Amino acid sequence: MKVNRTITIEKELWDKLKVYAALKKKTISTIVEDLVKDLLRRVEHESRNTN
Amino acid sequence: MSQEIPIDKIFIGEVNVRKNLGDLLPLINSIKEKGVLQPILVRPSEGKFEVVCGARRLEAAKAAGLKTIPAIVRELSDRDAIAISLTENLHRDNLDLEERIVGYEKLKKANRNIKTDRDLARLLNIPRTKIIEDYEAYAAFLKLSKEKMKVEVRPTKMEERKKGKSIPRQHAVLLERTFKKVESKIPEEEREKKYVQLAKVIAPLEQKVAKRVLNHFVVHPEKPVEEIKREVLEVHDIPVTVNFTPRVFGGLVRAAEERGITVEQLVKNIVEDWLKRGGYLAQGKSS
Repeated sequence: MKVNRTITIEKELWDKLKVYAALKKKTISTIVEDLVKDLLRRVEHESRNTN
Repeated sequence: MSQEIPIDKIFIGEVNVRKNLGDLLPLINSIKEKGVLQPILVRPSEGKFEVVCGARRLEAAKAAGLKTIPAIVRELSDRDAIAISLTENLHRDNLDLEERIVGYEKLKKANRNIKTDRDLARLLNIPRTKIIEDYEAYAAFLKLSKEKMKVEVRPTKMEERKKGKSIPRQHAVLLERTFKKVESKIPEEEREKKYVQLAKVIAPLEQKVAKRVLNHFVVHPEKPVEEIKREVLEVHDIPVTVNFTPRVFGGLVRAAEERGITVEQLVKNIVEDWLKRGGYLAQGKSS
C-alpha cells in the first residue's frame, strides 16, 4: 500500500528531471522517492551524530 | 589635406545616405566650444561642393554660426561617393534600417558590377549576413509599419516594446524568417494580422524566449497567437504524482513538521534543490 502525493515542479526543472529519468530508465516518481529517502537518511544520520 | 570652405558653398546631396541626423544639440555645443575637430569629406559638384561624409557636422556648424568648415575635397564618382558614405555610416552603426536599404539600393544602381549580396558585402567590407538580415528586417518593417510599429536597429526602451510600438531588429529578422517557413499553412486573409500579433508578442521578450515562441508557432501555425503565447510563457509548473511507501511517507511528514512546511512543499524543495545543484549531472556521470 503506497501513499500518493502530487507536487508541482517548474517546467524548466521538470524537463531536466524527465531527461534524467529517461537516462536512468526510471519513472519520475521513483526518482523523487529516492531523493526523499536520501534526505531522510541524511537527516537520521545527522541526528544520530548530534546525539 | 583639408581646407576651409565657405559653408554656403556646401550642400547635402543624394550620395549622402544618412537622412536622419538625430539630436544635433550636443554637437552644436561642442562646435561652439572647440570648433569642428574632424574635417568633412566633400566632392566638387556643379560649382559647389557636395557632402560625402559629415552631414551632421555641416548642419551643426551652420547652427553654431560658423561661416567656413574644414573639409577634404576629393574627386569622386557617384558609386565611390555612395560607397564611402555608406561604409562610414555602417561601421559607425549610424543608419536606421530604411537608410541602410536605400543606401544598398543606390549603390547597386550606381555600380553595375554589384550583382549579388556577396559583391555588396565585399565592397562595403561588412559580413554578407548583415546585408541579408537588413533586408529581412526591412521586409518585417514594411509589414509592421502599417501598424505604426518600428523596427529598431539600436537598443530601445522596453516601454516602447511592451506597447507594441517597436521591435528589435534581430527579433524582426527571426519573425520574418520563421513566418516565411509556414505562411503557406495560414489562410491568406489571416497572415497579415497573425504576423503583427506575433510581432507584438515577441517584441518585449528576451531573444531566446522570443525564439521559443516562434519555434512553437512553426509547429502550430494554425493556433491563435494568444494560445501560442500562453502555452510557451505561462506553463511554469507541472504536476508530478509520487508514490511513497508508508515508512518513507511517515519520515517525510515528520521532516516537514520539523521545518514548519507542508509535505508537498518539502518534496518540491528537495527536488528543486537537487536539480538546481546539478546533482543529476554528478549522479549521471558516476553511474
